[in-house]
Amino acid sequence: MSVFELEELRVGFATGRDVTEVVHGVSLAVDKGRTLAVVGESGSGKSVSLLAAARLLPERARVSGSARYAGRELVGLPEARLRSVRGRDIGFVFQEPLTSLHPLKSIGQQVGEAISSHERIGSRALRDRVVELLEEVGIREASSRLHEPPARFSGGQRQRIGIASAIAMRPGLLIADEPTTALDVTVQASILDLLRTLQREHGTAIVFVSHDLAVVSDFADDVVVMRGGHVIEQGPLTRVVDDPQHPYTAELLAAAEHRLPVPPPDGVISETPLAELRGVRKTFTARVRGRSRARTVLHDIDIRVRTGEILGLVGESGSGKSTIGRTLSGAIRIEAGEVRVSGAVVNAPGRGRVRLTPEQRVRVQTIFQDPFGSLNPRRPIADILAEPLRVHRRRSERDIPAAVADLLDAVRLPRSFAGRYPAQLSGGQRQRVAIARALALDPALLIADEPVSALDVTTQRQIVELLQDLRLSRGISILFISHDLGIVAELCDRVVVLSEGRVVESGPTADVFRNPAAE
Amino acid sequence: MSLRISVDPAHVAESTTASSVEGPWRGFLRALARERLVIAGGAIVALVVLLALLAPVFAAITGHGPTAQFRDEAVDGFGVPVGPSASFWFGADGSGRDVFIRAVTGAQVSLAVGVPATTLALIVGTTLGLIAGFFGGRTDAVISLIVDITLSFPFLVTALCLVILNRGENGQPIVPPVAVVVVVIALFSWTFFARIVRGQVIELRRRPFIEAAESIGASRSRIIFREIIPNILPIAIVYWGVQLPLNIVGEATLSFLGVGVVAPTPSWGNMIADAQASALFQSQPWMLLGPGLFLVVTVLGFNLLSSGLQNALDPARSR
Repeated sequence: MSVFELEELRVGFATGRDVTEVVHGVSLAVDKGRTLAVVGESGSGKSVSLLAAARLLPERARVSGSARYAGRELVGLPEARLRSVRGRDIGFVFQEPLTSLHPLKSIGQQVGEAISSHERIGSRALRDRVVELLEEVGIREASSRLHEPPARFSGGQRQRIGIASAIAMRPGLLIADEPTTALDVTVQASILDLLRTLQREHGTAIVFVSHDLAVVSDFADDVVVMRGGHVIEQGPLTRVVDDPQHPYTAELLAAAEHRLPVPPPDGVISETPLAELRGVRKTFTARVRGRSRARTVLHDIDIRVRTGEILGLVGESGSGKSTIGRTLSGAIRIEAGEVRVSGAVVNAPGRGRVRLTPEQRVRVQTIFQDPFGSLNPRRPIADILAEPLRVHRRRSERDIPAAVADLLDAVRLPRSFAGRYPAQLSGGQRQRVAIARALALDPALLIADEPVSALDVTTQRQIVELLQDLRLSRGISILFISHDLGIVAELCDRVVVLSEGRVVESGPTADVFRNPAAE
Repeated sequence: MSLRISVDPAHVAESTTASSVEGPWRGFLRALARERLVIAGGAIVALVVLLALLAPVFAAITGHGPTAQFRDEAVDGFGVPVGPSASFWFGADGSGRDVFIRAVTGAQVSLAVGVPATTLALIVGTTLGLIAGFFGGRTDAVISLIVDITLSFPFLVTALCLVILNRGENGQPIVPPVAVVVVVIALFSWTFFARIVRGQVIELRRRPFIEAAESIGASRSRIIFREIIPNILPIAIVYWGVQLPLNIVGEATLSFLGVGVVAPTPSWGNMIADAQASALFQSQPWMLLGPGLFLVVTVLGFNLLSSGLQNALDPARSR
């Protein structure tokens, strides 16, 4: 008998009188001591199906079908009984360790709550159990850190604390919903190791939700592929990977593998530097409780972007990558050194906002990370794309519709999208609009700040190909900022590695990745 | 083995998301039309507005103007006015005036004071809130201080003072009293708009699309008008609908106390005051019920409408 199974589970969301079904009859099962991965793009229904089983969805969700834990039916179970199942039998690990932990309570309190809400236990014994759990998940010196709030821990540590809460009652099943997506690559591996160890030691069954097949392929025994609320394919991992039955599965697999970088033809890249940072330092001052705290984010940075090249900028979150992009675009002023674009100084120490001439502004354009936030929700696409042209008076009003159509063509979106609003586009489509907007002014340098992090694997691939084409067809340089080493390896000619505000390595991509001086 | 898929996944995703989501304005109107509170409130408001507009028509039908007195007809020997009849639909008041005609004329007054006052408050409040939220720093501190100071003034006492100040040499008002009432009410309601808008603008300011507009080189005024205002307009409009009934009651209160619309112009407030002062409502209850009912129903209608507007604006309920 499986530890956990779903049978013909349907989930819908009610708005007013209509119910929109988003999960259409999903069936899956996981056995004791095994790991089932549920993969699919965002919107495929993978998280919703599992949250529905434990009734963790909002009021307006309508669940039908069957969800069973150890043979016991969960759908329709009275709330009081279900509450004891959550935590005691099923543990949950969520994606964002930042938001799934209470910011004001200490970690000792939170992990302790996971235990004390299910059993009566004396404070001494509770404290010992909490320390034991935290040490098991790899938080060192746990006993002396019990009273610290989550903010004092790194992202990876916070996720470990979340896992500690989830396994506190030694549940038979752990449901992990994208637990490593928000973490850096190096930390991901350690979290997966932890989960594996816990499974081995306690025989816990794990259901692991992810949109990233690469992460899953190391870790899972069985796989369920979902799309649009349906199960497309399922089976043992090795079988699904070697012999996918459904074209969509094959597509996901293809998108997940990273290809070798194709060097650009001769003449595309010229040695003349387009943009340079020399000795750049950037400090942020925050006023905390009346006192100013200065944080130096960039120390003595020297970077050169050649004309026509795609330069990768990698590093962990907090290493200063986005800040470099913003000094290049003039969004923030530097405290030391200088930034030059096409030979002219565009950013140097001084007071007030960085003032750029229109010509300088036009040379450097940025594509932002968040496709959902970087487009004004209340303006149609045509207006959003026409805005740069209007601000810089590049076209007469009469020529604008044609210019907008050209931009949409350049990013391979249908011309009919001009009349739509951002909410009517998917994440990948919005990101293309953002790219089109950045291209409108014919910039020389495109700063792409994590442009694909928020997108699904298949969409990522399309955007990466688009950027490669644009570099060849327009000869623009791209500064590609990312924490995803796989994509950087494929797309970039050279790579600069940043750590804690300093350049620790730079050179041709192949060299840097083959012989890393630092990790 | 590589399989080429003929359907571009982007388009597939498009078909599942595109048709189910509309543009923001269309979506808002659609949500409005479906909201029962909007329909109910809207119907009541429409009725009141209609009656207000038809006031002169009613006056023509009955032959009674709002300030015309018909003592012989309507008031008996003891000074007690008649109740509802064929010619006086709500009866008469102590001076022999037609209560119904006065009540519907009062509707005109309430709307003529409430709507401009709320609109003035919206314009002033939104502008100041926008400036405070967008520029931050000292500008924000100054404007927030002004908001706090305004809020610390007591409504009635201040209104009274302003009305008294509005007395010229010979006892005649310098500025038309209605204008004073409008300004007073606007003065006490602009702060709500300022607070709401300021909060919204502060949140919007941080959003990536504002930074994107800056990186394109858009000037600050362009950003304010083309990026920020379209986003705060819906909230401002909804709060207009929330504030209006409050301002109608505010006007009625001022008139009740004698510092708003003064006799002989009818206002629900001063009609209620009349009824209460003369105690004639004990014999002729419609002297009180007439304006009272109108006031209650009107405010109820606007409240339902604005609740419905707020629901429609709430993304958790709309689709």
